[in-house]
Amino acid sequence: MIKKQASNIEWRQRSDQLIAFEDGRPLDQPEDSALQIESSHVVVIGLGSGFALQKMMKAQPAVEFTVIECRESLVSRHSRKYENVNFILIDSIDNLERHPQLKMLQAASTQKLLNEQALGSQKSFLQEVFWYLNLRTARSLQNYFQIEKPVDDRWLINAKQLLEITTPDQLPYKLSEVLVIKELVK
Amino acid sequence: MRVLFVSLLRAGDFIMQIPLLKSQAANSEVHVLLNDEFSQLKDLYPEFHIHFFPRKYLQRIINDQNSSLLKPFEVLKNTTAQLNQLNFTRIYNLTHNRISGFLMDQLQAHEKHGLVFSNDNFVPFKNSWHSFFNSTFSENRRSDHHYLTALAQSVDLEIPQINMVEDRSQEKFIYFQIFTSDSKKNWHLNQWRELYDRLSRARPDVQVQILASPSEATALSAHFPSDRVVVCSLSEAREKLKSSALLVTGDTSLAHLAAETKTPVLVFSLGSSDFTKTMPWLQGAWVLSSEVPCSPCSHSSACSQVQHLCSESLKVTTALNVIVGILANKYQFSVASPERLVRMEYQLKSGLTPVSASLTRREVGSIKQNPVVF
Repeated sequence: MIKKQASNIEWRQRSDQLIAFEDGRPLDQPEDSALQIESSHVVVIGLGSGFALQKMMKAQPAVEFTVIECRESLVSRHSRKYENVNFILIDSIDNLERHPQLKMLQAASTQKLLNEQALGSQKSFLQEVFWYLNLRTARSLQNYFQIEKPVDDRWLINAKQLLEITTPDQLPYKLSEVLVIKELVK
Repeated sequence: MRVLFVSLLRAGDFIMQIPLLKSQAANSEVHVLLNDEFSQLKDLYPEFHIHFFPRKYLQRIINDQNSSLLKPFEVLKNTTAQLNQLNFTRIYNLTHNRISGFLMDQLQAHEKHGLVFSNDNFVPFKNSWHSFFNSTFSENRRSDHHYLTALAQSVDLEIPQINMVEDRSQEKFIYFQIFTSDSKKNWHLNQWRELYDRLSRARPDVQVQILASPSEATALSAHFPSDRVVVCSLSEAREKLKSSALLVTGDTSLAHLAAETKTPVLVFSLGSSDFTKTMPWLQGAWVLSSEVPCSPCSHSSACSQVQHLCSESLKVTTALNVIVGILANKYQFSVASPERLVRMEYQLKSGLTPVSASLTRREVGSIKQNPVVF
């Protein structure tokens, strides 16, 4: 099981910007670009100094943002600054099911963005959370669709596997919708 | 009245279906659902409301591991929900494949025609034409009826009016469209080049130009004088056809644009192209094909032969003689087996039909020299 890495976060001032450093390395830069938004609710996985989030909020003020982080010091600083953003602190992959909000965030209507420029030494951990939210891991799929049979978890789950391990009535879609996707998967 | 036509095949198939759409446009607002890879068709037919089924996008997100596993379902749901907001009176499925049948279940209308999936099953065919269409056009067999005749009848539409070629004997340009959508339907490039050279010598009074999409330009410029390769969009090609003496083409979208513009056309029907089914909807269109034993082959698989038999057995000399003859308003030709020349003619009983226009000479040993491998 992938675990969160021990790391030390400190904040340093550069001109008029505060930059988060993880074990002496900057997590992200003020020049980092915003991620492309395609939905009215965006989940940003990986916060860093918050530069990407700031740009996205400025560009799309009507969008609802949720941030997922595993580094408490990043969350505590930003949660004071951005009252409209929902912050979720996750420190273990083992207990993801204990966060009731995550199941809602797994819905396809919510866009999940992995903020790769701000992952630092937590890259593997946050990537795992990202795949969990996108139902690409066996565990998330089994939990989301209440599947009891074992699922091959050697690779990320793909659409073909989803259609093989679920019956159409387990999916929240019309049979004909499932069959269209099945044809495209072929 | 608002009508939706679902046309999820290739661009050429849609252009061939245009007469069906036009027949409805007089008293209806015509909408069309096309695959998203054919966005250029929107410019070609501004008179229709064109929507896109995001097939390519869906395939991309299905294979994108950074995308939610449920996103394709959501995109599909949103696509059909947007279309349903338009409250269609009728929907015609002109596609007749499984995906289109499933989509018909998600689309709402008072009337649905063509292949429809409903209540977990495909709805039984409503008429004998639909059964005929299903058995003949889903399988690799010759047809007694043109695709458009069978399709129109299968979806309860009238057989559309057939255009007749115009006299373009005074025009000075002949256009070649060399590449088709599938290499097995292509006549070889060196044969095209030889035809170009010999035709230019035989008819110095007309100029041969090669039509090319931007993606074809480089390949064609390597084989033809660059000042004769005309890079253009489908709309521009259609404009050029309106004043051309003849279009010589493989089985392509342009062949059907020639029908729309009443342009004299000679189609090389090779590979999986079937001259009994999908030739231009145009009285007087000419078709040269090659009746080798494996012809027509399947759309879905590659050429099964060691050599591209159908292409190789269609000789440059034959093509040249037919082109020169067409330009001189000749109607009967002599071609050598396995070549076959037909002309699309209106017949009282069967509608637009390929009628033999050749006295066929058998070329002794031609099949033996090119053994067929199955």
